[in-house]
Amino acid sequence: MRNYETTFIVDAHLPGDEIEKAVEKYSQFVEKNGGKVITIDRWGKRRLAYEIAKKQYGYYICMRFDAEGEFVKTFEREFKLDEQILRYLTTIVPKLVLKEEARVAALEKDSEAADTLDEEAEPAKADSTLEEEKKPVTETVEKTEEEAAEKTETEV
Amino acid sequence: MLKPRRKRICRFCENQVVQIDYKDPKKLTKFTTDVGKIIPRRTSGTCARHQRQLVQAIKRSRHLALIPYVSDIPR
Repeated sequence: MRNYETTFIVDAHLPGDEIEKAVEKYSQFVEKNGGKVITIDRWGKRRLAYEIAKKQYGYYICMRFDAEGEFVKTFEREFKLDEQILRYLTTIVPKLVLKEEARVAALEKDSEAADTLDEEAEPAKADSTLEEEKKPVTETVEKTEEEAAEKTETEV
Repeated sequence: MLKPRRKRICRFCENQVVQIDYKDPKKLTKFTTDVGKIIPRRTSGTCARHQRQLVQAIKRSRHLALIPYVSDIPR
């Protein structure tokens, strides 16, 4: 078993429920073939950097799953045959990234515990921290990484 | 006389990036020219390891139409 990440682009001209159907279809396909879907991240409709099949917009979906290596072949074949799919890309999630994520998640658990303590003391402050969390994911990731770096330094 | 050049430090090493993400077009476009070419290491100062990752990420990102292969109109 290995951790994979697949990003695919569905034709954005399709009605919303059709897109949902496609997402469901592929997540179920993973499950049926002995895989395990971890996350499904819908980025939504985005402008393509260049036209693909005369289309300017695409609906992006990023999926994380565990599966055997052989499965990827059959999975990509499905995409190839599906005309609603404009593009797809499957990558192996490197072990280093998995380690880093596990570490960040552990750190977040600690900070969450601290947050709940804050909420009990000062509800107004808790609101401001919530707003911070809404910022783009990349920024928060960087922050946590910085925090992680600081923490490790202090530990040493 | 040669002007002493400022030493550039790899931006990814500075931020302790584990893996460069192909899903982040905003950051990747910083390392491409207006036309869409990948900026060489000697210009950007990126270290060998991160440049290899960066190239991989940019190419993946291009495939997914997140960043252009070529653009005549710089955005």
